Amino acid sequence: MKDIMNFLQDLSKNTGIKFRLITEDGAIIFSSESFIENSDMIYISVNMGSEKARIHLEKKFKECASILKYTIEDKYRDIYLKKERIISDILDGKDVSDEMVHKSIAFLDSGCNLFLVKTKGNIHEAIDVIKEIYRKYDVITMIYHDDIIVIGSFDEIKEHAKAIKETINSNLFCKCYVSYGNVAHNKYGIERAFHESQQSMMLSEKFSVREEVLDYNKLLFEKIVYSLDTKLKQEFLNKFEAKFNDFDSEMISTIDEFINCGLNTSDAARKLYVHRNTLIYRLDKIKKETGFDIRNFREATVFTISFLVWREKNKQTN
Amino acid sequence: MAGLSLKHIYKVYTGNVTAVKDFNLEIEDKEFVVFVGPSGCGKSTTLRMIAGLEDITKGELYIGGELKNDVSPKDRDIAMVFQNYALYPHMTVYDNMAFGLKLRKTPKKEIDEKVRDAAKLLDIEHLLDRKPKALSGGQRQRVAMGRAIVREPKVFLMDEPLSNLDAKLRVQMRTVIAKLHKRLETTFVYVTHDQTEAMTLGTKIVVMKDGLVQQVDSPQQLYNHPINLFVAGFIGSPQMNFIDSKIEEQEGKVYVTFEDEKMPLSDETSKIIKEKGYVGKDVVMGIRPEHLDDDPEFIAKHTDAIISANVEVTELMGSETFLYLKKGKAAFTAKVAGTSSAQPDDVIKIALNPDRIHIFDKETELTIV
Repeated sequence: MKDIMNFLQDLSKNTGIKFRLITEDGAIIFSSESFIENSDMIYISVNMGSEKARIHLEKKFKECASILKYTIEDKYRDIYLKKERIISDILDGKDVSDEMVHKSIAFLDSGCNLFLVKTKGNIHEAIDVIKEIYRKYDVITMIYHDDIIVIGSFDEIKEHAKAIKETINSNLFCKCYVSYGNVAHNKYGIERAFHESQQSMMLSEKFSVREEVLDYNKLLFEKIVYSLDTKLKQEFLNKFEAKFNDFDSEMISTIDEFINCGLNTSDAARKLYVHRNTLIYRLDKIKKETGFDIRNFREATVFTISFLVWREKNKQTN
Repeated sequence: MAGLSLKHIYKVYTGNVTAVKDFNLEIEDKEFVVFVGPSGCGKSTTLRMIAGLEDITKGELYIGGELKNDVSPKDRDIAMVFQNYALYPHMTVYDNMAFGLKLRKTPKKEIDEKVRDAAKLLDIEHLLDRKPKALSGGQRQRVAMGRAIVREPKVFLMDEPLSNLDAKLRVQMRTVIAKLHKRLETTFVYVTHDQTEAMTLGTKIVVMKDGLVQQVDSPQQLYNHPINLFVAGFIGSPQMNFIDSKIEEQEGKVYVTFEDEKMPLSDETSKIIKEKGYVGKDVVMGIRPEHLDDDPEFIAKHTDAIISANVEVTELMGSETFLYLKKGKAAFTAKVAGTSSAQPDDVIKIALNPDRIHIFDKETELTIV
């Protein structure tokens, strides 16, 4: 948005044409210095990507209306579609010069994040919703293959990811998963962040991760288990499979929540809606059945890996 | 505003996991219905099916008399408040609340009116210019609710909206939600695992377990007339005491016996027990902690229902005390006055209110009387 604002500022200043650019619902995008709305105005509709806006122009500039409309639309296309094309080329592994990347994506220097958004609803409706969230901000939102990519510089990354997910949930009422990886500072970082996000989605599906917002750096155990060789996985299964199969859904969700809560008994009890003593009783039962006391970090580590190997084999999908 | 009708609803996941089985429910317009049950009972799944976030495997969903199974979820005219609500960190409270309306291209003036009305209702007018990070947990939750309110939906769906708040805030927000329902006069469907929340908010409560509806009733009826052992144990805090007992008849009078104690049952209860053929059979006796008392006046009133028991632990809660008692193998809790003098290791006399005894079938766990 900053790029287009600077352009509009220069355009007005250098041509002496005073105008105002307003969105369909009346929000002012830009207003020339000392522009005054009066009864002698003309209004021109302009396309800014998928959105429509309106130029308010004094009648005396009527002759310039068409060229003004063309210039703004062309610049918008140049700024935004160019950015999208660059990102697309980076992700496709094409050769894009560093200079062009840094010139077009200004926020890359200070570090940016990439969100991968998968939705089970209409992808075009979903991207419109996300674009609306970041309408006034320098954020790239685009469709890449069958998913949505959002790139920008975000302070509270998890909160933004949660907000995107919830906005899709509560406005389009469809399921939505958002994943993100590490901060990117250059084109290689963007490529890496995209692959990390993709991998997070894949791991989430493989290991039935319950969260719909996925942080690549928090999926450590899933990554370890995924990289284990088949023989080693079978060894874990031989030892634990029968025991896990015997547990009922209550015990499985207890294990799941206890691991998710970082072995914190009080947190897990609260999330499971059971008394702490009930949870302790269940943990004792797990110890009795499997020989592993999962309150102990070392034992919990082996147990978690075994549990994920079992999960991978017995994946449930919606 | 609208009523809802759920007919023979099922949710089956691949792998043949049935999360919700034959769910039937009529929700009247403006009713406050609460789905309550333990983790994994299917309450959130049912709510998400109403919202359209989960497909309905089988069955029919009507909103305002219209079949909505195949209606796009966003056209169902509902608003949902989630457990893990998320606000847009880069927007002010005002913009957070206005976002859904902007998306629907609502005129600016109308948005402003609705946002300010909702903010007033939620007592967050003074926060409209703040960003989410400058808000407390309770304030954030109010904003999340405000976002749903401004949409003026036919039905509000709330999925454990208070579970991320601390105990004190939950109590406060419970009152806010109750007031909201009264003011908005809209149908509310609310999911919680917390029976106190369910009892205090709901006009109708749906108790669920393992994907099945156990009982649908008013809070009072659920408390006084639970349909089975599960509902009896789930509703009420501390939970109802359950004691393995036997029904005996002596000289025409029916008793419930456990350990070496013998409690006479009222004539009405005895009649039902006899009619149903339970004399001589093992049963489970249920009595709520508040229907046991060591108060001398209460004991004097119920002389034929006195037992002696060991006090194991006492918990003074202020105006009341919980006594954890043991009688042979039977353990039970009594909720008595805070002035009770009972101390751990004491052997005390305590009376049961025979009119409030519940008897359950030991095998089917269904309520006999």
